[in-house]
Amino acid sequence: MGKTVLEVQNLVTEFHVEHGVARAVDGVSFHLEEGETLGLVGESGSGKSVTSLSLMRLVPSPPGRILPSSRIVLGGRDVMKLSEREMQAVRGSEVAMVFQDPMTALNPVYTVGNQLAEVLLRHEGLSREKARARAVELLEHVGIPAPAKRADSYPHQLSGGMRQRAMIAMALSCSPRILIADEPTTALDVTIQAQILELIKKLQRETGMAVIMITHDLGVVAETCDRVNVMYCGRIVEEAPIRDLFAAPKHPYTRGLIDSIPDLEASRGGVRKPLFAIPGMVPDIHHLPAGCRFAERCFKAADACRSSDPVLSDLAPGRRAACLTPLAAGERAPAAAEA
Amino acid sequence: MSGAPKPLLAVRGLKKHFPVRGGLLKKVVGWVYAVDGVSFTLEEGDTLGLVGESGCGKSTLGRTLMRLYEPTEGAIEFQGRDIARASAAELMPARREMAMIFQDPYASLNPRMTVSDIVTAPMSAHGVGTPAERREKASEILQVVGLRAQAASRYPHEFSGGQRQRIGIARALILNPKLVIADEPVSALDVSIRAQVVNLMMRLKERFKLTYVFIAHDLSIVEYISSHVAVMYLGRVMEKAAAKTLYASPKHPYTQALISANPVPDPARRAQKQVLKGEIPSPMHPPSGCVFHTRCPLAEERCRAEAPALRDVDKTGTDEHLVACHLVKD
Repeated sequence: MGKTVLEVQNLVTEFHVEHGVARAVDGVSFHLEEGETLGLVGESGSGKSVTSLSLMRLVPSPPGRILPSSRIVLGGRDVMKLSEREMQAVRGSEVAMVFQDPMTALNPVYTVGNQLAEVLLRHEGLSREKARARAVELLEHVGIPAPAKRADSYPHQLSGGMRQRAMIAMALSCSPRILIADEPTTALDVTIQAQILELIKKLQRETGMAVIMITHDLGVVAETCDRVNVMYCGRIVEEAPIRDLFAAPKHPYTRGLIDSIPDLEASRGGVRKPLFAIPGMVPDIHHLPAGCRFAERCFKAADACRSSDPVLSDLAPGRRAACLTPLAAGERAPAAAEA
Repeated sequence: MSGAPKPLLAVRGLKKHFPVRGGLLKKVVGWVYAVDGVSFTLEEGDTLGLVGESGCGKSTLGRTLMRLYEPTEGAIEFQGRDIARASAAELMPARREMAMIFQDPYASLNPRMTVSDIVTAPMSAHGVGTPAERREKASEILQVVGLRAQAASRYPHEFSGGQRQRIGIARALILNPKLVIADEPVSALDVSIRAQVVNLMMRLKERFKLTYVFIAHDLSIVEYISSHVAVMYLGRVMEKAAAKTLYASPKHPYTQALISANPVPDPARRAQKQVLKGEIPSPMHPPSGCVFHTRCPLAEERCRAEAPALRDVDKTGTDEHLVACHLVKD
């Protein structure tokens, strides 16, 4: 680890909608190191998916627009400066993506094998015959039983778990250096989720690719990620190595998220921690508060938090938080008081 | 529980099979064995968590208990009376005492009705109260679930997912039911909102002495809210016990695998998962013998041939621990 494969600086992605301009991603900066798994965690509307689409320059335009001041440096090249043609070469061979719902990402009128072969024809320049053979190989590699037969199946003939495997096979077909997995297991059952996460880990070990794991599920984060960025309202509010994040979160939002999920293992051991509910809800993107966007839900919020907008600042090596009064170790909300 | 009063709900051999039609004449070409012989009892004041993966029949079971689906076979005794075959008129008094909360707070509220009309719909259906009384009750119940009384005159689209779920809960509680069947009530909600709704449901349970059937796929949430848990797989109950017992010492290989697969929100306790092979078979063609045998790491010859009965393996003498597995010793 150590070498940076992706560097994002001040990414701003806006959507022009009826009510005005919505900044779904508002000044996001982070980096990704070779071979690591970076978590991008947040709830609906936090901007985590738009961030990943922006990296691939897949934000539909209009209504979307990535501000030109944003910098996305991928293997030394600024993605923002590439032509659409150059970008197409980047997608798939340098960065590939797996989505939450493979049914919408796969083309329903082509067989899985054909879709896979198509990618190989385009990016790798294989012959039709070789592409087909490689497609079957890839399906086998991601654990699809009877791959030669499955290659002739249409997406709807596969189960959710198998479709996700096929998606992963397609994403990995050109050996990308970065895999963006956007809620890859959210639509799956828990035993199938375990299979898919295991598969991604295995493939990562084999290929050394870096993974950006986008999820709302802190359990998935805890089990897969090396480092985490927590997002709220279009911004990164905290960054930390995985263990530090869970052991001593610095941002009250992160603390609240961790305390709001029941811990099965702990309660099996006889310790049932009370479920903490973060009061209120995410502010409307068109009516964001002046100061800290989390202030109205924060147990620590002071007057200063409501007037000045905190910036993401370094607290320790590898640790950043956007909070005027970062939490001390062990500090949490006084009680699970809630309306 | 020995010596306990009559259970609020006793289900015996309940089955719900859906016909699959095909061909030009829409003839029945097969059956989906969604719920296939489920029995359990539920004491007043308890919360029974129903867990399982997609297609295990937990939602169908919940809806069949409410008679939203007609049972194919079996008995549903509610307060000592079998409602499985009751006529619509006979069903009315039981229905007043039962309510349901649905998963999708977007689809389960009529967008053209005001919140007041939505939450008082059960009162209108049962002819309870005058319009003025209903309005008053609506503003009262909305405040109970943490909304403002003014919400009554607004429409569902003006509310967030969490607030809509509160509206659904208000509707369920307006007739002061005894039994509430909640079908994945928090699955569609964001993590921080989920905790709000779970805590609300637990407070309401205390306050109104409710009995819950809590259907969910999230094992951690179920553990948190339930006193008892039943694990379902392909239309059958694999294991049922007090929540504590079930999570601390799961007996059925499927329960063990489910618990192991559940992600642990603590990187310090990252452990090797017991990953089940294969996929959930179709409930149209459930495997022979034990329905879990195709994925069970321990399956033997007998498991393929003979369906195990659900039997009590409790040794402590305190509460039942039911398991349907040949390989679990008594």
